[in-house]
Amino acid sequence: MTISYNWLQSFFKEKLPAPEKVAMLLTMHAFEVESFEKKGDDTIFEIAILPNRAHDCLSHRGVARELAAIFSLGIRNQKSGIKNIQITQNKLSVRIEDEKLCRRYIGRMIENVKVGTSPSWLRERLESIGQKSINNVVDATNYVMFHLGQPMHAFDAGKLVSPEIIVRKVRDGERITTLDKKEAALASDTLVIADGESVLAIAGIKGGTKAEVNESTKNIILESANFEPSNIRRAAQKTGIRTDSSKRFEQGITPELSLEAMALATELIIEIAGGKETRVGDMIDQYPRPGAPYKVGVSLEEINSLLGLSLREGEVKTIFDRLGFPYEILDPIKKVLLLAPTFAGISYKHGASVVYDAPRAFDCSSFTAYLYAQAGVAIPRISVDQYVFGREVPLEEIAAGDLIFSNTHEGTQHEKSVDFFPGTPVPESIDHVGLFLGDGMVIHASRHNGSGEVMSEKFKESKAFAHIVGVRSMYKGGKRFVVTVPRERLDIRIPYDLIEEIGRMHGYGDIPETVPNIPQKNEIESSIFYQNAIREILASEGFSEVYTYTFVGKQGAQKQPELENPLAADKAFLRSTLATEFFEKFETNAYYADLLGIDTVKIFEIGRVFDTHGEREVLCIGVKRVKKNKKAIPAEDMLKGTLEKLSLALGVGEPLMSAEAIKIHKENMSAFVELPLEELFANVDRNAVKKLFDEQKIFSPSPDVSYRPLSKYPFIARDIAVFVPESVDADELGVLIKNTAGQNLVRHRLFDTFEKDGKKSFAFRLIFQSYEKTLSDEEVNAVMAQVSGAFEANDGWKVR
Amino acid sequence: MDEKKDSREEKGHLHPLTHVIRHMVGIFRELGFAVAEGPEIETEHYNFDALNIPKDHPARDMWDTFWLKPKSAGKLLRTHTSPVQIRYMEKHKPPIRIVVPGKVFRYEATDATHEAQFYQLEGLLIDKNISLAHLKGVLGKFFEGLFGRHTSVRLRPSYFPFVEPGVEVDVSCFKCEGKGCGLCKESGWIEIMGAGMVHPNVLRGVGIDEREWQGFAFGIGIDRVAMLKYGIDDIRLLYQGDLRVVNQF
Repeated sequence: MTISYNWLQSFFKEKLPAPEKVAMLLTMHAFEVESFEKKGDDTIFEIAILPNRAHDCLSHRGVARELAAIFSLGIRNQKSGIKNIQITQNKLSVRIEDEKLCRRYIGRMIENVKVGTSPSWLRERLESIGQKSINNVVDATNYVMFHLGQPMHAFDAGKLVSPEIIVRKVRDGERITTLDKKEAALASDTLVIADGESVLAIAGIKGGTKAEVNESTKNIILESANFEPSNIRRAAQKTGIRTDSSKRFEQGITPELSLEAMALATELIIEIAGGKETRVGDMIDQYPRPGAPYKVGVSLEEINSLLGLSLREGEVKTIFDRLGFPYEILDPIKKVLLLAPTFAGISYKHGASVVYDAPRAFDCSSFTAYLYAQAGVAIPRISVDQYVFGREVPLEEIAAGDLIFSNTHEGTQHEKSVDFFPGTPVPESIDHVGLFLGDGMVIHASRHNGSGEVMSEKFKESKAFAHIVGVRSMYKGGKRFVVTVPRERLDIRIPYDLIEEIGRMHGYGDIPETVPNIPQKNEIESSIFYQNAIREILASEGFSEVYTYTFVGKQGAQKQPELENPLAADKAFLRSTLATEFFEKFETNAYYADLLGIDTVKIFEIGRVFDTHGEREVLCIGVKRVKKNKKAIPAEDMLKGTLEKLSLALGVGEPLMSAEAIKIHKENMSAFVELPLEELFANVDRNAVKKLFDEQKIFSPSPDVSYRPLSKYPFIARDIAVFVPESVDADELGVLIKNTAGQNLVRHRLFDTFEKDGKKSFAFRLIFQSYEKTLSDEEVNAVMAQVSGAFEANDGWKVR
Repeated sequence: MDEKKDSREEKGHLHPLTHVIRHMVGIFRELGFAVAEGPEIETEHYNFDALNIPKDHPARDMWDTFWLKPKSAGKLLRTHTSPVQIRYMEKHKPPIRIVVPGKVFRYEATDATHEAQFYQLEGLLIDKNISLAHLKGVLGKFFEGLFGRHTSVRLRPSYFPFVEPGVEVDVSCFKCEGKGCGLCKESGWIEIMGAGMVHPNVLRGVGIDEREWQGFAFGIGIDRVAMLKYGIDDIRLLYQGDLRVVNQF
């Protein structure tokens, strides 16, 4: 995300550290600042907001909060309240038809605004982060989004059939013309904002032209809403429209933010688009299911155990303070026991939610789950899961704070766990749970307690606990920090999340490097060992290893898995054989035979091939002779010889493959074989392989090779043959060639020798190639003339 | 010239990625890690869901995925070697120490630094009281073995859904030893892998109780290490079957 340094500064009274320092510390403690650049008197950062922080940090305030925590600064309070304004009597109505998909909708009517250009400060702010200024009203909503992270929208109220906003699913055949004048069909399940007649906007994604705010607009309706993330994501994918708004909603943001955003936007619009006649309506706030803030607990021991640090309580407190996380330090069992009796008389509701209904209503297990959550101990929601989760305690050793599980034979019978280690059998079956208070008292929520409520009673006399299944302890550690998670931090739900906050704010720098105890080494897995033994054998037989592509085109009649989304038409399938690639690699490498100094292309690959049933690992070996040579061994015989060697080394007994399995291309002088490894490995004699190969040696450091990049220019080959006296050997000539042929000589190779009349003849092939240019014939001829000259300068040497 | 002799005498060459994988595996074997493998065609469950990456979650955008036809079957080419963690934990009880070298696939346009297929090495260690300090310790040993010299390990906050805390791992530049050079873009550090403490949801999903066991996981791009070590400037050269490259190793 693009973030302005000056904009960040507006959140602080104190001067922020220099941009370089801000960038460095954000990278080390929050998220990576990919780049930053001075622009006038501002500095613009490109920050890679981590996906789990997109809930709260796709905004300047989000990043400012991180800075506040890192530098221990106080965030300045935003302007508050709207003063001296006239109230409109015209009522706006808001109706949410699908409360799951629209969690909150705040609408507000503002009448008699003057739509025009924005003041320069606002234009500059938006332009500094690469946004275009549109008009003062639209700019105000965009500003709020980049300021607080809440996407907003403004409608021209005059263009609605009546002052009524309806949030509903799209109807068959409904279309929209979006603000960028594009027609879009809307897939079913897409949530839209509509008036009584037609679609005004794709909810959370983009507005339509129907109620577009422009210079002629007088009255506006402001929207500050919250939509369900995965529905927004699906709708954005289906319509192919991704906007700054949809990106934020699909990550999920807290519905609590809507109110603050509406207040800020209203204030801003009055300031920049308002006048004497401007009248503001009430906020129409539809918020069907507000949730309670989350409580998450963690102990000092858990923090240090996961981070590998030895932090003290005071250090953790300081970090929570810097983060602005309200917390208590408490003994969970004491807290549970203290809290439980205060809910006596709260009504029973089957299936009550811990987040949305507690503490206004409970069922038996939401009551226990809620109590422990308040004490910073996360236990499962369902009674049977609590039973599986807890530590077993004999009934006679029951202690205050333990949970008692029973079977009343009246509730839903659970014979196995549901969410916690799902399927764990509980043959005794459980349908009720209560909290043991000590002194023989139990407190529990039940429909049979009074008029259906939370009640404590002597548990020996309790009907609900007539058939006790067992007792479980939920917590055995010590004191815990219990954090009330700030609303915007949707990423903090479990102790590990708090530990990450502590870790990153403290800094990972002083975590020591501790090597854990090293256990006895087991024998290496056979398949890994054998694969690498095969590589050794083949390399010693002159074969080089290639890695080729899994994606290929159609390979004849074979059934190949096909990609839904290929990168290209000729890469639309998974390979069913390596043959196609190998026959191609034969040719490309044969072309470079002189450069490589080879007469035969010998390659192999170990890799997966696929059919519609699945995949298997194969070994492919290929041989291609580069030039016709009647005296030379044919490619297929060479391959057979190699297979015999391989069989022998692996101790598989008879030669690996019958001759028929070898594919021979006589006209190309090539041969190829593909062997399924699983079948091969089943017959390998591990001891035979162990005798030949040492694990330690195979899995040894990669060689220190100084790799020469490939030249993109062509190479030139020249032959030279020379008669020399019998006493001269080939090496002597080789040295001479190296010394005279110049820097573009990449290889020289002796390819023919014979003796005649007491003289020897040596024929060399010299290969030239430059990294800078295409060598010309003249240049190479001149070099060859030098080599000739150097040869003939010796007594009795004669270039043929 | 005796052709038979010539072609037999010339030794073949192993692929640079093989060399690097063996090197890495060798180091981890000495640290007590076993080697595991898994399928390249994966299910949505193993590649995503079991790794705490639910359907319709924006975190899925972190992995551009090749899907097999028909998409409704939920089969894909694994985008990381992490599914093997899950498969292994389903079959083995802690303590667990494995590395998983293997080919992975990403749906992205190819250029000198991006390939649609490449290799990763995944590591997983689950035991009692395992911490980020152990992650640092193991990685310190690993880098020392890999680069043949002492290096420093630096952790930065990051995010991968299957770990928490998630970290980006930087290693001090093995070329300039942290002074700053072209290889490390003058920063002294090379960003080399992602890692973190295994997320409790992942552990619970395979039946491991996070109150008893904890551990770390990491993943390193093998191609990048080979390219850094040998100065290979184009990742595509590793998959051309070009002996002008392979025969240098």
